[in-house]
Amino acid sequence: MSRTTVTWTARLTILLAAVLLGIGLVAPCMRIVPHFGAYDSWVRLLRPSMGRTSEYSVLSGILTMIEQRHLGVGLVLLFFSCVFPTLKLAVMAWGVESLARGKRTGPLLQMAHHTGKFSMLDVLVLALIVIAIKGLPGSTEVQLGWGVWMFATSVVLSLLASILLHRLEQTRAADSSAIAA
Amino acid sequence: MSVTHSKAPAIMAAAVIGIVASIVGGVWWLRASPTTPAETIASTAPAAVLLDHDYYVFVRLVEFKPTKPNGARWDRGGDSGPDANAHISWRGNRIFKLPSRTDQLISTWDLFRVDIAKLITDGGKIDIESAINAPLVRVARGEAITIEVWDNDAMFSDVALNMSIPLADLREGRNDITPPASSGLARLQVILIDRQTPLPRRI
Repeated sequence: MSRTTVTWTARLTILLAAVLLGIGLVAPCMRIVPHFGAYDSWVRLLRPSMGRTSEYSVLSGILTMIEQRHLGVGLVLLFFSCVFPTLKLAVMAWGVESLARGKRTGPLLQMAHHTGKFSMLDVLVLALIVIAIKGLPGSTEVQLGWGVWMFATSVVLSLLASILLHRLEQTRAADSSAIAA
Repeated sequence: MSVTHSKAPAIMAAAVIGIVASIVGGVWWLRASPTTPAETIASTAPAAVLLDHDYYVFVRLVEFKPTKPNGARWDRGGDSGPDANAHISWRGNRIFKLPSRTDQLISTWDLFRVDIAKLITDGGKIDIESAINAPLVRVARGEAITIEVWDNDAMFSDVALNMSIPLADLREGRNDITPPASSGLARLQVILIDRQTPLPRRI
């Protein structure tokens, strides 16, 4: 694959990842269908509000958590699920453009490489929430929404972009060595 | 040209942030309440009824229209509201009659009804099952219940609703049924409760 092809693939991958990340943050990712075991009918009769199906996106779930005064956990999740992936994609976009123009990438991109492993943390958190709620008694169901797939695809694309960026860096280093020689 | 060339990485990075922010902001703005989770408020997502399963059919509420379908008053020669009466039929049998309600446009019933006089004559003991203000039906494919609601007048009774409801169309929990436009009812609320719910323990 030529350097130009890799550059364009990286650009498109980052832009697509950004679009999917935006959708993934606000699209329905989790639908909680409460059940109350043998008492299901009674609970629905006496407290219909408890039987309502709730649908959350990543962002609305985090904001609900903050509203319910779980500020610390909420802010950590907000950073690692929303702010950090966006900044990481922005830094990678910066790096791709810099490398495309034969520039050095600088320490910011190195940091993005090192912190890349944290990008899976949000997926892990989602998985933990699902497992935790699936463990509730009364056959309460947690159904995953299409937002999860958007979000997960964005994470995979950002990993792919990271690989492409690394390849661009290697190409640039090889070019620099050839010029020096 | 060189200024544009040097600014390209920053523009690209800003574009990425802009894409994410505009999608999130746009969707958030489109929602009526930005900080409320997207709850499906209309849906109580009750479980579908199970075939060959026994359920209590509890008529919780009926609401009469202000006048009869032909525009006449409910009370002949007066201005009183309708006296609500309701029957439930199943498999060709009238299986339950709800206690009458007098001069009400909206009539409601509670799930439990205790006959104090009978309670005293029975020695102060009550079988909880017998206090349930609803009949039992068994859900089978293709079967229906018929709910008949009428205004009981001294001289004539006016049928406000005679509606057949397929059991398979009902859900466990609350069912808000819209009566036909030609009927005298504006609203009908029916609650289905699984018989296997351990009733005495719950009470």
